[in-house]
Amino acid sequence: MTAAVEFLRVSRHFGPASAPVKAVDGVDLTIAEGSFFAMLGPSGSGKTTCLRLISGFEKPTGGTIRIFGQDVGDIPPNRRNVNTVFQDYALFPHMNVRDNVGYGLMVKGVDRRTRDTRAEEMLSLVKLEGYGDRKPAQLSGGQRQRVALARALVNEPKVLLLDEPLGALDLKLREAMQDELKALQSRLGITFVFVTHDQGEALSMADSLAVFNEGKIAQIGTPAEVYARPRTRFVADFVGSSNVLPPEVTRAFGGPLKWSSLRPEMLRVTAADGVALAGTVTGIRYLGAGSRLSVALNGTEVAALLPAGQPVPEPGATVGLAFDPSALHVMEGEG
Amino acid sequence: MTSPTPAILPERGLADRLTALFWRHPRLLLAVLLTPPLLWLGVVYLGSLFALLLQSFYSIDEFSGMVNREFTLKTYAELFRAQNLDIIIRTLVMSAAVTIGCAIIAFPIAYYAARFARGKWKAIFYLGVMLPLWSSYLVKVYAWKLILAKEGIITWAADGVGLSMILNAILAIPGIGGNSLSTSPLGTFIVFVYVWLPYMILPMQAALERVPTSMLEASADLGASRAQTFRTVILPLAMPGVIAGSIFTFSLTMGDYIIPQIVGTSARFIGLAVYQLQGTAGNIPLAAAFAVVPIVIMLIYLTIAKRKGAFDAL
Repeated sequence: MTAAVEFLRVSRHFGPASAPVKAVDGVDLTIAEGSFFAMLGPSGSGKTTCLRLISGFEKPTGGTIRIFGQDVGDIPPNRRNVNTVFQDYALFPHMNVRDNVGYGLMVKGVDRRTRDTRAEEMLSLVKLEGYGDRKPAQLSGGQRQRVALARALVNEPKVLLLDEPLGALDLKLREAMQDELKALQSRLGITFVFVTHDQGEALSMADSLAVFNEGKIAQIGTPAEVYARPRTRFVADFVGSSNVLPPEVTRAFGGPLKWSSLRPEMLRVTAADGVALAGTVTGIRYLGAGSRLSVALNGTEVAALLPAGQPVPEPGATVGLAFDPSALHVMEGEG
Repeated sequence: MTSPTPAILPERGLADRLTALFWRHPRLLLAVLLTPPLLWLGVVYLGSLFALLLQSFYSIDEFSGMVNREFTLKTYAELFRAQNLDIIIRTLVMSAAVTIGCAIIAFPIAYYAARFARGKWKAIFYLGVMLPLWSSYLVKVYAWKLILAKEGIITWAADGVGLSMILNAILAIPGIGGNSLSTSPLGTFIVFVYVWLPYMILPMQAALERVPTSMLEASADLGASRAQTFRTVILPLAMPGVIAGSIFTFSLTMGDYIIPQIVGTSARFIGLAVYQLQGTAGNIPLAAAFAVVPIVIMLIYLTIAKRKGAFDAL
């Protein structure tokens, strides 16, 4: 399989050379053709800058970016056959929906009739038939998002870039759009690069994902790999908010003297007597599908997920904790 | 459990009583705030405009020089006499030229200010644009007369760098040239553009500032060249600002009577005609009819602009 996008030691520093702000710092990355790739990280971690480096709105201060094998260092955005769905959708307010969708074809000199036909096709692809004459201001957030998607896809891009496209939608709509985007991607076979700060979204949608932290990639892999075997403390905490255990606690839990990660859902809450690990309940958070207990144990706070239907202990009660030893994941990386 | 603070706080005096009154009758505050300016606008401003409009339907008795207070369109017919029509067309052409000139010069400045200037540079921009407005209009116009005069700095500089040939060639063009820049229609144009430029830059900059960067990026992302982005995205979105600016430059040029008197060929413009007709000639009806011309032209201009979709982005 060819690489749709390749980053070779790519950096993007802002500000003076003496004290640069390293938005992206020495990133190596390969995005396989036809994959659904997520860039995950907190705000300011460099994920959006990476997306803008692919589209060409940012120029790297170091390294090489290749799109389908071609170095794009000198290629301006309008000549890169990649399209972006912007976070604020960036629909042109003075054009109706049809002209918005047909914009990419218009600037390429496609005649109006072909343009309108293609725009209608795209609108039906995103389930907005008959909305062609409306202005963006007359649409809801979800509809605008679909128009932005249609406007990008009409150009048959080699790579579709999505910058937190679901961030402005409410929860129900966001979940529906997640399924739709995923279905659309597998149907069209276009490489999707998806930027998000929502780890649940990245885990559920992506074929593979890169976790960004402070301008660098902390870990790259399939969602299952990243979730089950976080490489660093940051990844363990950011993806699925795991229990990150310092070396001494890891040893108390039966592991080596190293940092480790233990998922809250892997911990079973038991009676306090006759178990190796017992602690005091310090907090209970009701989550609907269960409760999240905070247990003070060996000087650290450990979170355990208690499924619904099980008796919930009182705060201050002493409980035992048990887990399958294989669930304790020892991390290789630091930080 | 009793709380030491009451659930309802005591009324503290007039300010609280007024607040309560306005809270109970939300429209009352609006009425209080709007009545004085509406009276000013409605009675003083629109009223006098209406009185002016009324005057234009009267005529003047050619022998006695007295105003004949009978409704007639005779005065308007007079506007279409060759010499008067000449004034109107000259003013119209000059106003259009000044507006286009201002728009061309203002756009890059406004674009820079809206897109790139930050912090200190933004302050410098505002200062640079507004500063000329702080000094007396007459002083500026007379200064320009000296700058443009045959003995002025432009002729001197053109001589110095060997460009006097070009300057003379421009001055030899019939219709815009003349003896020197300060006595040519070109000179009048230059001074008009200088004086009204800030009124074009500021609304343009405000309009450009409202165009989000992502809009320009989206255009480039979809394959548009810079020129295509300018034509299909920036210009349409900035159009309300351009129109607002052009209303200023167009109507200010049409109404001005000082600049054409000081710089140029002393050929008459509408403003100057109105000034002379109501003063020395004492022909108030014709002066009023002349004054109606810019109003009508502006209305036609705005109607066309609206039809062309200039306000669609508002």
